[in-house]
Amino acid sequence: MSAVLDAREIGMTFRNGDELTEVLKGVDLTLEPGELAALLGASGSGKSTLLSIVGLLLRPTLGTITIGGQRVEGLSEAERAQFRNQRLGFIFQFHHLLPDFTATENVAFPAAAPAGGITPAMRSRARELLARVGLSDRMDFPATRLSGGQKQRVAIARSLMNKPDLVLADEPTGSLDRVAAEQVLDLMREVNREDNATFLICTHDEQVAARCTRRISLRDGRVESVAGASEPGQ
Amino acid sequence: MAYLSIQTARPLFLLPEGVTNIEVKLVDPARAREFATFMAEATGLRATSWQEKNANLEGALAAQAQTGTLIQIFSLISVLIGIASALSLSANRRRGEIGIMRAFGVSKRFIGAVFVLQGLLIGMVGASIGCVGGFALCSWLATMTKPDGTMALPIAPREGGYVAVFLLTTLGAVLASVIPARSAARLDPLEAIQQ
Repeated sequence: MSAVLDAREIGMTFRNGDELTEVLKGVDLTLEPGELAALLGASGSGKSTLLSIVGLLLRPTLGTITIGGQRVEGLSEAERAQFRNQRLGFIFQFHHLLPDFTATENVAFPAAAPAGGITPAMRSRARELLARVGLSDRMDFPATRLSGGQKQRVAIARSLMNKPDLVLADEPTGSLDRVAAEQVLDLMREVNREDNATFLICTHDEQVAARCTRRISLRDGRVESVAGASEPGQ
Repeated sequence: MAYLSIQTARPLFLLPEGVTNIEVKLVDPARAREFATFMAEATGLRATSWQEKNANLEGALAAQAQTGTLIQIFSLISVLIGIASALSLSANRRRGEIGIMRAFGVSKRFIGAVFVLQGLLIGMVGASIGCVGGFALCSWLATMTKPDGTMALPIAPREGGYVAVFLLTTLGAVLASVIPARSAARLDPLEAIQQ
């Protein structure tokens, strides 16, 4: 089976005036379908930059990236936006739900925005996903009336709306209390196992990484170690 | 007021023949100068338009009209600055949401269009409220009278340029929304999300 993500020799250098800062130094990263991988590293190790590059939010200085069999580093800005919409899912530390929308509308948003509105099929899929994340009784609640954990569940459902090849999560439990964080992690594991969804979770929390099937540690812009089974769904 | 025949009046004013002056009322008072020139050339008499006779009044009326126009222009400018500020604040407050939209692949054009549409709606709603409110206020003021029964203020509510005001305000609001729309569309999604 071909890899969902194949990033080769990723290099990233930021320029600040005359000063150059090399954040990533030839990182290789491969994810097979159905993997739940943790990207670990201390602050400044380059993990968020790598996640942003894989999420096509940043262009790397060097290297090649293939997602779902498609080379993406040469895509134009509009093509990258379209690719993000159709092939990638995002979960961020702060859910950033649209406050004027209900839970269902928030989940349907990635499909509805390019289409210019929510179709009955989109609404139905969004409601299925909300039921999937245990929010059947909150489907028509405005986002502002949901708790932090519920909002992050909505964000997980939203990330799955367009059936992405890869879901990228940046510190998804960082803003939650321990109980809510456990529930969100359990849910991500469950979705990973049952739907064979591929997750790349960026975290500095060892407890979060311990729940993942693979741990990729970054240090000073290089892969320091890769641990755990690379078989999906474990 | 008393009316006399010319024959009776002449001896009283020690005027054996002729009249002191003739006043002509025109359908269009604005053409008085043109008509006075014509009459002077046609009769050889001295003809004076009301504008020439009341030069100060005409100047005052012109100044009043210019002041009114200036007030309208400055009102429109302040409304447009208000709309632009409100939309800029909204764009800033919604940085996170804009960032997440961009991360999910929503195009810059879509984000910009949302803000321009918001400006259009603000302009249309504001202009409608302004036109209706202005008409209502003018209609009320027009009912006020002096003790002799004449109008207290020379107001004609139906003469207002409501369509022009509506169109200008709406167009202005759309133009005022362009800068906030561009800045919202140009937000770096990564930066917006991380903030």
